[in-house]
Amino acid sequence: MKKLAVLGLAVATLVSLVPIVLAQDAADGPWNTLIIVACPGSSPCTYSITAYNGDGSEAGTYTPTSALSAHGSTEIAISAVVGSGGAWNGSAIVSSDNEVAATAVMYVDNSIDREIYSSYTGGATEAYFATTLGHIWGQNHVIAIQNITSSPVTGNIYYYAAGETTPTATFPFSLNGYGSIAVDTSASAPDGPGLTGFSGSTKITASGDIVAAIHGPNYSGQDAVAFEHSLPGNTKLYFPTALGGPYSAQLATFFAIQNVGDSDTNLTATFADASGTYVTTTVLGPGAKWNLFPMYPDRVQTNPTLPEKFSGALTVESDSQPIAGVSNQKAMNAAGAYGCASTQHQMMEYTAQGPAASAQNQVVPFVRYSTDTNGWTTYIAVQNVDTSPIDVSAYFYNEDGTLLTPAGGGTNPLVFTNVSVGGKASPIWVNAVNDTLSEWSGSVIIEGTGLMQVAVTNKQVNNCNAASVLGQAFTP
Amino acid sequence: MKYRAWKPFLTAGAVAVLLLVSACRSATPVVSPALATSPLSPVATVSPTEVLPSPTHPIIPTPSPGLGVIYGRLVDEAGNPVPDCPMFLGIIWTLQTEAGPEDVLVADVAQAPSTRTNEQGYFVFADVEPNTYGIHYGRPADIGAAFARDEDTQNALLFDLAPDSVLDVGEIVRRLPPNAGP
Repeated sequence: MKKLAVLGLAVATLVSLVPIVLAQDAADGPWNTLIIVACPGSSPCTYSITAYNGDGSEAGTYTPTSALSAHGSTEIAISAVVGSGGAWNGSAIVSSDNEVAATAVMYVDNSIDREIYSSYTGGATEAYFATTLGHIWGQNHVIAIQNITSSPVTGNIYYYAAGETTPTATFPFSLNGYGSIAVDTSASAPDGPGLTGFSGSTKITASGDIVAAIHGPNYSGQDAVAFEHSLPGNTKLYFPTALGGPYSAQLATFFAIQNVGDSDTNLTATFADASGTYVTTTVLGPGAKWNLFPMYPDRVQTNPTLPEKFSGALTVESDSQPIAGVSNQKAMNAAGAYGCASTQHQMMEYTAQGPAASAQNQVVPFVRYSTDTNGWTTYIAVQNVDTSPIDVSAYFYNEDGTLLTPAGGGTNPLVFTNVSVGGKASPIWVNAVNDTLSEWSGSVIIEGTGLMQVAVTNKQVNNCNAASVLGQAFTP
Repeated sequence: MKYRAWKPFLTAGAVAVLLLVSACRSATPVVSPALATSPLSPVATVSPTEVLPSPTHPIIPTPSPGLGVIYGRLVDEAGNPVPDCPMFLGIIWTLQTEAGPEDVLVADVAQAPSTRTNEQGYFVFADVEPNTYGIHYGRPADIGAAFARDEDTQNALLFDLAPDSVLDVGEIVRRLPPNAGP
């Protein structure tokens, strides 16, 4: 997990990662953490990465020998030297003289799973996960929390079973300044709440600013996942991708919406694509969760009725209480079952954010394209969250900060005009800029004529594995 | 990850001999820090074409003064070369953990020495600063990309590169996850 915050520098962007786990897993090999740092602005970024132990003590600082070019990006792979017995769990903060954005990827040598999550620019005293699972449906979630301040904080994780308004369990925690903790939902006290078979949501409160992320390492043959926490106070959430089997992968989307307020609230979910908008409503009690329908690819969606093989975006609005939300895309087959041939179930999860995370300038630090079957391809969806149609321009930058040269009829930037309110510009991928490439890594900077929200899907070419992450707002 | 090394530090003459018999593969893993104490001899200037007549072998450049060269071969588990694969050198970052010092490897693609394997899987890092390195094969986060490790201990393989030396890291086996693509 990462976050961004200003810390005593005139212009500083900090990226926190919770947790970085480098212990060896006997089955799958050593853990790796990959930190992708992008410098989206027009000035180079002199940055460093400071690693913190769980107790908040500083473990060390990695300082590159040269600055990151303007519009440039880099990937920093970190892995334990000792394959067995070595174990460092902690967090990290990336500091820079100019604004940076970052994405983290955690993975094990001998696994195809990838946990990807975005950085934050600051923390809060409350954080929410609309989905939290404890050893159920092949998933087990670990909640990582980081204190982003130099002072100690105390707090609680409240676990709400689906539909319940009172916590099923409460897990208290104390963190030193810059300390972090990883709480396994299924672990027994004192390490966790011991919620095996749990399906619900969580609310975290703290006495100081924290950030949090869920990561779900491979368990029971399921795909690994990671997603960011929801910020407090949102009465509107944006989901830039809402898919009902539009592509060959038969991608379907599930949405979890949590009422994190104190009383009932009326929810309005509006799906939008090029053909129009489709609305459904419900009433959600405090603490309860709305599992907005699975968009199985073999069915005409009802309530609302969506066009076949729908490909659009979703906006959920609450009329009174704050809400939190998580999107989960999966690959399904024509019968509505998991569509992956292997035991791996492709899952792409990201947390929906609200207007505070929207911006006219967004950066996607980790953009990859490879024709290798074990490589990645990145697809970007940009949702218009403004009040009138907007134009969207996506600039593809090589890692050295230069613009990717277009080829094959592509353009750089890719331009989408008159994107409807609530709708999306998609797909944005490097092959539309240059289809002669066999491999590319870089970042994408997206400019809109209005406010946007960005979701990113990273999918392997020929494996049932994928991961989603959010775009990140920045100030050009 | 299997590792088959011939010999860590070579004089130019030894380079010639060993490359001509490059099919020879030792089953004995060689892992630093034992290499740290290996005596080094400056590498004389030898034309690469004299010692590497076969087009299937890499051209091993003579290092510039004070620098070194690292080369080796990346193969799959069947022994077939892995061509056109990005390769990076990682450096050691020592973390002061709650349990004491612990080394991690860091490969920063914007900073690290990098190269690609040729059609026969050979890779050469030319004119590299003397240091202790780990070798990362593949683009980070791609499936099967990882730091080279000893197959048995899972410890990362570390190589000490001395000034004016040519370091042959031998054959490194890329191991894909069991459910990776073809």
